Order: sequence, then structure tokens, then C-alpha cells
Amino acid sequence: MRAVLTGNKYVTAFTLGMQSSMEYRLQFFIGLFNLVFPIGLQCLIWTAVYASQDHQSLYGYDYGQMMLYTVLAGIVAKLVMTHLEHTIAEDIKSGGLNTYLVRPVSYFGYRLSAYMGSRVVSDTILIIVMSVVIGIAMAFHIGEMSLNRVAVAIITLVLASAVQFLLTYTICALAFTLQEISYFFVITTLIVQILSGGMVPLEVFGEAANQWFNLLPFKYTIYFPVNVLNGRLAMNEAFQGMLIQLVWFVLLIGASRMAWKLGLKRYVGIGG
Amino acid sequence: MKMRSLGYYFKLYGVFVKNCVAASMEYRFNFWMGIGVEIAFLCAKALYILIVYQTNLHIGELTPDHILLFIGTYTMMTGLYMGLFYVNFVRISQYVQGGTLDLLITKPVSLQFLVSLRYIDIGLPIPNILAGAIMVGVGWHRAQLPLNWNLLGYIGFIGIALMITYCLMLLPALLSFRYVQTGAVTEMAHSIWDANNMPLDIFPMWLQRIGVYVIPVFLISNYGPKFVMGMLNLWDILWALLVPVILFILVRKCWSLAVRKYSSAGS
Repeated sequence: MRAVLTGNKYVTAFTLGMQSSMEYRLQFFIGLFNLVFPIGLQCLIWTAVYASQDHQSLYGYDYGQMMLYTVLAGIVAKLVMTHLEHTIAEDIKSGGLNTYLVRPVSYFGYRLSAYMGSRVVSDTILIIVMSVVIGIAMAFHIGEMSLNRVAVAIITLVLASAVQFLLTYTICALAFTLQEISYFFVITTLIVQILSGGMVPLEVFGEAANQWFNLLPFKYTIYFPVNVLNGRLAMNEAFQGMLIQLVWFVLLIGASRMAWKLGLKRYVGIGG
Repeated sequence: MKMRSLGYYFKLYGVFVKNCVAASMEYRFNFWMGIGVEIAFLCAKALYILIVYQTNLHIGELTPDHILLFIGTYTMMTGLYMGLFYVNFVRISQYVQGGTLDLLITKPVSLQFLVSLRYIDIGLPIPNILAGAIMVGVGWHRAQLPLNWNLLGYIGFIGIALMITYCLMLLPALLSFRYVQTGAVTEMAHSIWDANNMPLDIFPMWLQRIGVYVIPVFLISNYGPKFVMGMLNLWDILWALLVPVILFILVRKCWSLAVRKYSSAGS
């Protein structure tokens, strides 16, 4: 079994991904520490907002729930956002993709394995941090948390990561067509983060906008898992959302395959 | 080496600006995409304005209109930072890793000037400066603040903020001389920069003191509006005048130290 695993090219890609993520350890840990700043700033803003209000609740969240949402959304955003766009686009632009096309290896499989490997250490740390936050929230009775809910939330998080990976992979196919794509990725990353509830809860945008958000996959990557976790969504809503995540997962598999098939027809491998 | 006059450097900077304008006209797609990126970031900032007005946020004596003045100043400063400095600071690690710095060292001008001010992006600051100026104008008008010599003072504080921005944001970039990867430190500096998105009054007192006296990042977009509102005392104004001088001396020392440690790595 071990021999099969060590000889498997995707296991090797996974291991390489894990090793390269730890290559610059100081950079890695500072990157994780950076999570504190945007979350801290948003918590302070919400604290000021609630302090200046007579109401207990804003956008349907009381102060504790809003703090919990802000912290969990920051961690979940870090967990699910792939930031793979530039790497894949660079492979397409510089001809690095050739290396994979001429070998008996699936580029998708390679990238997925390497990506999963690169996330092992950081995601483990993030999950530990998230567990501490959940523990504190449970101790102070913030939100409606239970172990069953945490179990469901784990499944929604796995599905959210899969949907986000496929979204990124599909968007990356645009690199086959567009000359200068790096700016485009900055825009899409930011838009995805806003529409997925990574910056503020989606209720801030009002009911009409939320009707539209329901039709898009973005809210199922951050907003949905966070609200499953903090207990704002009932269990039946959680299962309904998981079903929608699955539908998006299937749709995005089809969309990414089609986009890459079309892209590879246009691809001219220069360099590499 | 002979010291060049300040006039010479102004003239040289004018040539840099001219070259960069010509280059941005040549690559128009990049120019428009740069504007697109900044508009996307503006949308993110607009979320905070939405929350401020939707919740009628009051921070101490500050009304939502006052807060708009702060957010507008921060937006303008972000545009100036992106357009004048950021495009240079991100290149420093490339200069060091690729060995381009070897060539730049041989030029008969100040190396720090050449490396940190050579490029200007015309597209990046346009949306931020425009939107920021509109926010400041609207906030100023709605808060019924007097439009007299206050405006000159405000512009003066923007100048001070620009100098502080240059010094504070160049310091993390200098780590490129020592470390290969400095992306996370730059990201941290940008996160700290974003603390200016709201008036410093939302922070606890100990953090305010750090942001004013230790890492004086809060001076960038808080002191201009606070001056206009008459919320600065004489000591605050003196401190604001002193900080750019102290920081510039510090940056010069750090720059010299970094260059002394530099050993060519590339071609």
C-alpha cells in the first residue's frame, strides 16, 4: 500500500505542495498572523457601530453574533480562498502548461493535489484557531452551537472549498483568451470576497440584492458555512444549502471542463 | 559623489512622470484595468460608508458626515500611495533578486531616489483621488465645516501624510535586501494601512497611542480631518510636523544599512 502511495504521481504532487508551502516559514507564519488585522479592524468597527445604537440587533445579528460572524468569516475566507489564479495563469502564459500536457498527468489532478498539500499545515492551524473560537462562543453562549451543527458545518466547509477551487479553476481558463489577466484576477477575487460575505454579512446589502445572491454560487462559500456554524440557519436550511452546494459543485465541474477544453484548443505553448 | 541640488531632482522627477504617462498611453489596456481594479477596491470601501450611514454611526463627537471626511481622506491617500510609491516599492525585491540593482547603483543620482520614485502609475490613483475628493467635499459640506484657511491646513496635512506614507511603507520593502520573500510583511503593512479606513477614535486608547507615537500610521488620514474640525492641539500639530523629519532620517539610515549589506545575486 505504502509503495503504491509513494509511487503515485498525485501523492508526490501533494507532498511537494506541502514542502513548498513550508519553504519560507517566516513568510508563512506572518501570513497567518496577518489574519488578525482585518478581523480586528472589523470587530472594532462593529463594536463602535453597536455602541452608538439603541437597538440590540443590527441586520438581524446581535453584538455577539456579529463578532462571531466577523471572526469566523475571516477564518473561513482564509480556509476556502485558493489564491491559485496567478500560478495557473502563469503556467498558461509562460508555456509551463506544456510540461503537463506532454506527460501522462492530468493538470487538474496535479494542481488539486499540490494545492491540497500546500494547505495541510495552514489549514490545520486555521482549524485549531476556529475550534478555539467555537469553544469560546459555546462557553459564552454566543450563537446556537452544538456538536451536531459543527459536524454539518465541516461538510459545508469541505463543499465550500471544492466549489471555490472549481470557481477559481474555471475563471483561470480566461488566461487562454485574455492578454493581461493579473488585474482581472484582483477584481474577481475582491468581488467574490464581497459577494460571498467574506467582508460583511450579506444582510447589509438588503433583501433585493440577497434575492440575486441566492442565484449565485458565492454565498455558499463563506456566508453559508459560517451561518451554519453559528446557528443562524436552522438544520433544514443547512441541509437545503448543502444540496445547493452540491448542485454548484456539479455545475462547476462541467463549466471548468468545458472552459478548459475550449481554452486548450486556442492554446499555443510558447516557452516552458 | 557630487550632491545634486533639489531642483535637479525635481526636474528629473518631471522626466520620470513624462515617461510614465507616455508608457501608460502605450499600454492602454493595463491603464484601464488598473482603473478597474481600483474601482473594485472602492466598492469594498463603499461598504463601510454604507454601514456608517445605514446605522447612523456616531463615534464620540463624530457624525456620519465627519466620518465620511475621514474615509475620503483615507481613499485619497490610498490613491496617492498606489500611484506614487507602491509601484516602486514592489519592484525593490525584483531589483535585488534579479541583480538589476547593480545597474542602478552605477547611475549618477541618489539610489534611493531612483529606486523609490522612478515609476508613477497614472491609472491607479485616478478613481481613488476622484472618489476621495468627492467624499471629502460632501463630508465637509454636510458637516457644515468652515471653508477658509482650514483648507490650506488640510492640504498641508495631506503633504505631511504623503511624506509619512513614503517613509512608513518603504521600510518593509527594505527587508527585500535581507529576505527573499517579503510578501507577507508587505501584506501586514497594507493591513495596518487599512486601519486608517475609520477614525482612530474607534480604537482603544493604547492602540491609538501606538498608532500616533510608535508607528505613526494614524497621522496619515486622521490629522487632516481632525485639524479641520479643530480637534488638534498645538502639541499634536508640532508632533505632526516632527514625525516626517524623524521618519525620513530613520529611512535614510535603514536604506544605507540595507545597501551596505547588499550583495549582487543576479546577472
